[in-house]
Formats: sequence, structure tokens, C-alpha cells
Amino acid sequence: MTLTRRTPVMLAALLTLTLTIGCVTPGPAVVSTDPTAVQVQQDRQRAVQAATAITAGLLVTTQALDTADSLEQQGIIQAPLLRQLLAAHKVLTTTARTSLDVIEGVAAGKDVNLSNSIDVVIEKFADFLAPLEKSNNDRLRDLAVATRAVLTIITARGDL
Amino acid sequence: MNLKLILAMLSNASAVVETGKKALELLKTAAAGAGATQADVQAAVDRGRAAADAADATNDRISDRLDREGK
Repeated sequence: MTLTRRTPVMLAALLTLTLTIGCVTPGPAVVSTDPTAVQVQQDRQRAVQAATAITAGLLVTTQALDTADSLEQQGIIQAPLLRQLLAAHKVLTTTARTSLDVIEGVAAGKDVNLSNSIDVVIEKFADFLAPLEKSNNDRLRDLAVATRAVLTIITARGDL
Repeated sequence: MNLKLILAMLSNASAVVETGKKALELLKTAAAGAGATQADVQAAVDRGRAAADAADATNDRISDRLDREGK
């Protein structure tokens, strides 16, 4: 494998290693002994992390789609593949919005199924990555590796 | 493979990683905010919706271009 092909994978691996070593999640600033209050605090914290993880994931996939657009304009990939990625990204964006609506319910004190909502979004992230990973284009596969590495870290750190 | 193409490849994939770094800073900030309030949840949701708006803007831009070019 040439250096130019290894570089995106190396960058993703370096990023993974750096963040694994460097990231420490501090404990709660206020600890309540009331079980209900504790549950509410945990639910809100999880809601914040889930919403932030979805936000972070969208930033990365939007960048990946923009990159694919650039590659199509350079003639490196074909329009049908870009159309496929675009369709998956539209579904992902719509699903993310629905999940954010559910997460917002936590702020309003509603009893919502946060886990199910998050699982659906993660599934759509995977659907977006699939065409990239199956591509016979080296550049797209490298892009997929970098994007999946970042999404893996995001979902792990977001406790999703 | 010419130098221009190599540079395009490197900058394209690196852009994803750079965006990933910014995204992870966002996540670290969220993780540091222990004891979240209702306002914190709302703020996080609002940031998510802003990211979804930006994603839709990109989706629309690419879709319009492909339609215009008949691809």
C-alpha cells in the first residue's frame, strides 16, 4: 500500500489513539441521594451526550458527502454513486431530526424511549457508510475508513 | 497519478478527519457538562438541529447540481 493510500487510514488511526489516551470523562459535579433525582440527572446527561453525538456524526457525514461531491466533479467517482450517497444522507438527516425531537422530550420531562431512537440513527449512519465501504474506488474506501473511525469514537464517547 | 490528484485525495480524506476532531471537541464539552439541566438538553438539541439544517443545505446543493447537469 502506497503512502498516499495509507495516509487517511493513518490519520484516522492516530486520531483514535490520541483521543483514547486523552479523553477522560469527569464524574458528576453534584451527586444526589434521591433515586428519582439521580435518574432524572442521568437521563438528562445521556440526552445531552446523545444529541451531541448525533450533531458530531452529522458534521462528519456531511463533510464526507461534500468530499464525495468533490470527487464526482473531478471525475474520480460516478454520479450514480453520489446519488446513492445523497439518498442515504437525506434519510439520515430526517432520522436525526426525529431522534432530536425525542431527545427534546427528555428536557420536557417526558418518558421517552431514548435507546430505541438512538439505535435508529446509528443504523442510518451505517446505511450511509455502506456504499462507501463497498466501493471499488480506493479513495472512497479510504474516506469510509476515516469516517467510520470517527463515528465509532463518537458513538463510544457519546455512550450510545 | 499526478500530483494534483494526490493532493486532492489527501485533502479530501483529511478534511473528514479534521471535521472529526472538531466534532469530538464538541462531544468532550458535552461530557464535561455533568449534572445537565433542561436548558443543557435543549441547547444540545438546538445544536443538533443546526447541524441537520447544514446537512440539508449540502444535500440540496448537491442534488440541485446533479439535476442541473442531468446526472
